[in-house]
Amino acid sequence: MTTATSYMLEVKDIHATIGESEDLTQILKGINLSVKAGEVHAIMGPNGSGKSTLSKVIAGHPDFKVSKGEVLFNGENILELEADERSRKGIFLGFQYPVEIPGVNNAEFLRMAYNQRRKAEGKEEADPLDFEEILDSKMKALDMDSRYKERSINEGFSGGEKKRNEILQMAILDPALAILDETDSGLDVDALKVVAGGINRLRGPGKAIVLITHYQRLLDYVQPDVVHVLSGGRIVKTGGKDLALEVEKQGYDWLVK
Amino acid sequence: MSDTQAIETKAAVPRFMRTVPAPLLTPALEEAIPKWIADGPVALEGVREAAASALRLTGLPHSGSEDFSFVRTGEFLPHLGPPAAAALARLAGGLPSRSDIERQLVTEARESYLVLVDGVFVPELSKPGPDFQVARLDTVLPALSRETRDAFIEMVAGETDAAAAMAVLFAAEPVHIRVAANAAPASPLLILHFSSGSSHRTDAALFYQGDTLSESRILVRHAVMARAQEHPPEAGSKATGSMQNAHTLALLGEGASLKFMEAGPLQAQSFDSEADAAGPQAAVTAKAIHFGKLTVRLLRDSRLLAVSAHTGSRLTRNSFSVDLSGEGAEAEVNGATVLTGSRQSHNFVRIRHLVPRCVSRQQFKSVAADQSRSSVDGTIYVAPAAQQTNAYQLINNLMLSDEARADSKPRLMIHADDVKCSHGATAGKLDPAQQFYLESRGLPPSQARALMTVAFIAEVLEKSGKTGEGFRDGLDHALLDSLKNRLPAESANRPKGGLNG
Repeated sequence: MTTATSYMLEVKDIHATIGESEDLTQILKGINLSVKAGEVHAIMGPNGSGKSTLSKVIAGHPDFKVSKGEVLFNGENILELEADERSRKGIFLGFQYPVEIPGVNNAEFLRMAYNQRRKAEGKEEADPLDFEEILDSKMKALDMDSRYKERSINEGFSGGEKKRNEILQMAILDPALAILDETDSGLDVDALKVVAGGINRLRGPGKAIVLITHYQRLLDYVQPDVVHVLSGGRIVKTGGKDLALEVEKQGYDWLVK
Repeated sequence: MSDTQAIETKAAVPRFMRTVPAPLLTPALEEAIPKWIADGPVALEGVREAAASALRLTGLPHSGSEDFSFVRTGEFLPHLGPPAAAALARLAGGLPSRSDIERQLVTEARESYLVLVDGVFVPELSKPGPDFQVARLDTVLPALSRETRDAFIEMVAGETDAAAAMAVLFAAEPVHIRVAANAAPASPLLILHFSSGSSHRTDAALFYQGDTLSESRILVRHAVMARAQEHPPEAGSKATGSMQNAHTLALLGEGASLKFMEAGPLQAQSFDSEADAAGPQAAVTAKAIHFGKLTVRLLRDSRLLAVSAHTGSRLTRNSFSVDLSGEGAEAEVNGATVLTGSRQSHNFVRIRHLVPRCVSRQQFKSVAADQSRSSVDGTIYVAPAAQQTNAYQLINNLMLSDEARADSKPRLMIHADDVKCSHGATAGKLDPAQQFYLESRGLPPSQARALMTVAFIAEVLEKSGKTGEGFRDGLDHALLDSLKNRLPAESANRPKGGLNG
């Protein structure tokens, strides 16, 4: 096995911008990040440091242009792939602000996404009844009422319900790499425990998880292997889980200097 | 979609009534009308005279006609002459086959349907079921109560749409459908309008009478017979293609309820077969002009729910005229169109609140792709006496192409001072944030866009409730089917919100 393939995710010197020529803003200024299968990485950092942008660049959001660098997923450069192709390869982005999509049924959407994933793996579409069973068991594990199946995607969901719905989607799609963008924000302690439980269930030898968070709080429930601090579009410090505690105690100022 | 905004207007704004354009008919029409009435059944004279007087008063549409504000009159005017000789030969275009009928049936109305061919009722192919009394109007009109007859004639005489007046005047065999007092047929009645593809205009007129506390559902489909062909236009005629001109008039008695769901011209001929879409019948549909009108008078505490959906044709125009004439009446009128290619669809709505304490709601949604054109021109009129009116109107347009065009004209004419009325219109593109969300879960861009488009339209179809679930699902498929390969994979642009009103 070569070095290139021993990492599940390799972000190499990524520079990314948003906007058109006159109005161009450089957000990421040379990010390097390597995540192995089985690892949980946490990315912390002050507001506007580029955490969400990094997650969107990896997931393939069309608004962000990569001007330099590459993103390798299992050794393959994925920057040329569309967001849906990246998803079908096993990359999942949990949104900080999940959008509401009135008129698109939540359960039906989940089944379509599940079947797209199966198709990509060369499997047949799931029988609707089999899928229903999978869905019910995953929803039960996340303490979600079955009426969420009847509703439109995120429509009228509270902040906490939306985050739970993100974790439900992650559980259904069972991705190799999950990037969770501030999944803990807006959750009360009980909901945080449920969501953390969902993340821990995904954890395993073939899986990698990148947690983007403002606070150490989530890391009490999901223990990270590596913690990075992102500031001004660069990773300024990498350490073990103690780094998160340090940040909690001292803030970011001492790192950002 | 994300950029939905509505303008709220709660104040009473007195406005002037519209003026009637100068009456003008062609000499050929002037000459044909008295002869047509004299040669027809005596029983129909009153109705036809009323239609003729409405037509003379309204005149033929011209470029300044308010009723056709977004429609180029040149496209259909050649069709508005006296009925062609060929149109007068009863069922000259043949009859639909058993399989033609079979594939238009929907589960909930397999035992309850009417067949009309080129506007002519064909009893031997129909099966209205026990609770719908169906007959040619001329055979039952003399036996109807004076009140009912007068009400129908008044509705006809008040017609301001020349094409709708002509449908009643020239329909060879107007049909009368009645649901008796307190009756509530278990199945909906499916009305199948077949076209033989003939090159002349076909006129159809249906008179629905829902007696006191009756409760019924009517589903309408338009179809082309399998052996239909495109006919060359008659010698001397400037009209090209065919024109189907249908007018349904409904009189709802006290406490009566009517749920009316119409599938206008659809690209897919059948609700469940995709192969039909490109067939010869689809070509006939695409080239046809479809004019449809629903005129309803609601008496005390009666209810109307109307949902109309279609994928347009060379020129499709649907018109709704609803009079809330009895206190406590409620009317809901909804429309959904999905247009591709150079198809056109125009909706024209007039809701008149004539008495206090009535409710009306309207929602029209259009999806316009390619170079298609759609318009909605809707007015809520509140008479001085109609205090405590509650009326609402919303027009939403989803633009899938920069070359498509949608015109919206939501309008209030309020002459009472204690009312709650609101109206609004929006135009926008698919929301890129929603699209990215769906794609990030592995849905290909085309599937994501289709899903969002269907969701946009679904809101209107869902208003039909339990009117006809099989019918609604079929319509849903037919609408989506027309968008196949029309939802380009590129990312949606940032939405541009638009307000109109």
